[in-house]
Amino acid sequence: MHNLGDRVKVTNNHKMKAFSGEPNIFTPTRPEESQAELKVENLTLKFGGITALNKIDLSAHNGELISIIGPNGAGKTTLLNCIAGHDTAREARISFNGKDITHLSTHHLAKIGIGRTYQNIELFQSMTVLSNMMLARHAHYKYNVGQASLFLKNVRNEEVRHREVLEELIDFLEIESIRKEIVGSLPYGMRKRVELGCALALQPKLLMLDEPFAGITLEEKEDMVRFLVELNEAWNQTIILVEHNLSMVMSISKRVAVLDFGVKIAEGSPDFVQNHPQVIKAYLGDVS
Amino acid sequence: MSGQQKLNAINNNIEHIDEESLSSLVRFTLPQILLRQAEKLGSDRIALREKAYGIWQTYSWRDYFRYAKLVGMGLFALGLKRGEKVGLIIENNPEWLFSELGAQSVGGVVLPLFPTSAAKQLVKMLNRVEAAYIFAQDQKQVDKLLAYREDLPHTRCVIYTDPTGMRTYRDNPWLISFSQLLDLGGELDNEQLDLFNTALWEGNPDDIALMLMTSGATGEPKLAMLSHSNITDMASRWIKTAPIGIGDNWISFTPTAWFIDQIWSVGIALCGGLIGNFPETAETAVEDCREIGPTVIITSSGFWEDLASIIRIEINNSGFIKRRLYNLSQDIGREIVDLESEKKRVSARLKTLRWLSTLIVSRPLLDRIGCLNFRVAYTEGHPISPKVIQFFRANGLNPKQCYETVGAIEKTVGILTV
Repeated sequence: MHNLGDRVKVTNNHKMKAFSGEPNIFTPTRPEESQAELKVENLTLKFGGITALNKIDLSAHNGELISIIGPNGAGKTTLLNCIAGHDTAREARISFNGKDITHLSTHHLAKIGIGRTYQNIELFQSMTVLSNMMLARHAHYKYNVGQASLFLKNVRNEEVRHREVLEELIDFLEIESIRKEIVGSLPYGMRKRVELGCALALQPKLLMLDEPFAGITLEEKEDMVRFLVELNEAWNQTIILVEHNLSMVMSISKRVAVLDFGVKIAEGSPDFVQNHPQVIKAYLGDVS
Repeated sequence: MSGQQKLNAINNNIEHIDEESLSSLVRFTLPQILLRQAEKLGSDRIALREKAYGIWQTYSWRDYFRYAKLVGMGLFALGLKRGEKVGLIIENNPEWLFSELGAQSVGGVVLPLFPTSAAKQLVKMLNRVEAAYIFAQDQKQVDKLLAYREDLPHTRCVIYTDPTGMRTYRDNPWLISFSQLLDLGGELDNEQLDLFNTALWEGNPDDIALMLMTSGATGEPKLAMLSHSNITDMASRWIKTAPIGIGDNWISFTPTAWFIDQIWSVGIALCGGLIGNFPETAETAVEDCREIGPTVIITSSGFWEDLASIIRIEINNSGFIKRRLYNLSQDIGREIVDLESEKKRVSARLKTLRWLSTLIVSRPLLDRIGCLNFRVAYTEGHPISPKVIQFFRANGLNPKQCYETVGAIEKTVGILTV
């Protein structure tokens, strides 16, 4: 990965944020470009004799922030893995914008606009934040390996364009001071933020986040909530959130689905789910 | 080369402002000087530079004037009257200068406040001057003001410069964005072409330009009132005495409400044609400073102390050869500094060693921290530790050029009122 930091000339092409209103990287020129309609039907996944997911139906509509909650081992991450192409369900139909994606591999899913983060951070620890983010954007690159190895003019121009997008993202995530830091040297909370940056670098139509609040401080959680709400409300980003932190989930989600032992036991508004007897039973046990 | 020869060589490299312009400064207000600089230095010379989106964005002198004019006209369109106060709760960026010079161009008196202050303190100060308009940096500052909306009866409008997170505030008629203000100014300017010039030249150098909070060391902070000529007079004295000239790099990162940044970023940079540079964030200031390589710097003692400790930590984390070379260079530097302070002769052996250590260690080190191009370095705030001074002297930063400017505002006001 070529680091363009020192090659970019001083320019005043950029309009300053204050003069232009707001940054616009998340707003595509045509609304249909960000259209995201996900439909999961009858998803069943078995590991040997264990049924990890049993006949799950789930849908995510355009511009929605839907959360998946459930006790440990309920199958939340497995469901995300199935959608993201890491696990292949034997019986299922998963469609995205009307296209069947059940058997598509992860890199194809990235190309059609599905991005995700991981519960345990999956970044290149010995690379810089910028390099990680540039790499996460590979689905948008148009040059080939030969052109890249010679660093031809079209490659240089393209990288400058990608870097501009990333710089707006860096500004949005407030990670200017660490853009050239090695990821492995960063604190955990910042790495989580970088991972969100990598997922966003793809400019996904559907963003799937696996426990973005796990293991970070309260202040970092508040920042993360701010980014997610801003993404969802201002930029109409469709988000599926898998999370344990119920107070965060209930405060930002429009719809919540609850899994327990691989079965979807409830789905609805945060209020509905909080008062659902089966959800209370799943979390607190049978109190009768 | 003797000391005098060195000084002459430095002076020859400086593009000095001409004598006539320098002596005429006190006859103009700050925005009038901005207009003169925009006419003289035009769109070819850089006036301001800000690092944003990872790139140094530049503004020419003409851009600087144009934005200040748009802000001035925008405030005019909102209803600002001559002599009314404008609060600034804003960080170091070009919008600060556009807002300040813009407000002053139509007769506003500027009160810069610390963005780190608590809401109650801000409201108290703003009420003391009955601020009619307030420029706020971002959502955080706007939230502070909104919490005390009822306690700010004189404030007709708040202008925010950073629109991040302000989407849900759009329906609030008390708030407008900086871009909206520029649009308002542009519209009014198109309708009434001479309005701005008339307002600009109505300004008198003895009008109050700025109100600054004193340090409050002996009780409640007071508000010091500085006229345009106070600032331009001080600026012309600095330009005459300090080795600075047109196109020199000044880096602005002390708070905008401090006297030092006001006198340098607004006064001296404007009058002397310096380039004002603004780092990307407070955390990236040292790295950005290195990229710019400023020729002149005044910063708090804390900055020098932090820099010294960063250097020590980085050296400790470096490899054996680098560490060993650095320690040798430090020993040579310290020995020479001690001899020089005792006014003893420095042997030829030590001089040769210093030449070598400068070549191998000190110059690359100073380059790495952005201090290589310094012609002059000042420190302000609390007295700096002698150990830190010795540390930098041993590393080749000229210590004679460090002056203390503690309580500068009280001294200045004291001098001015005598």
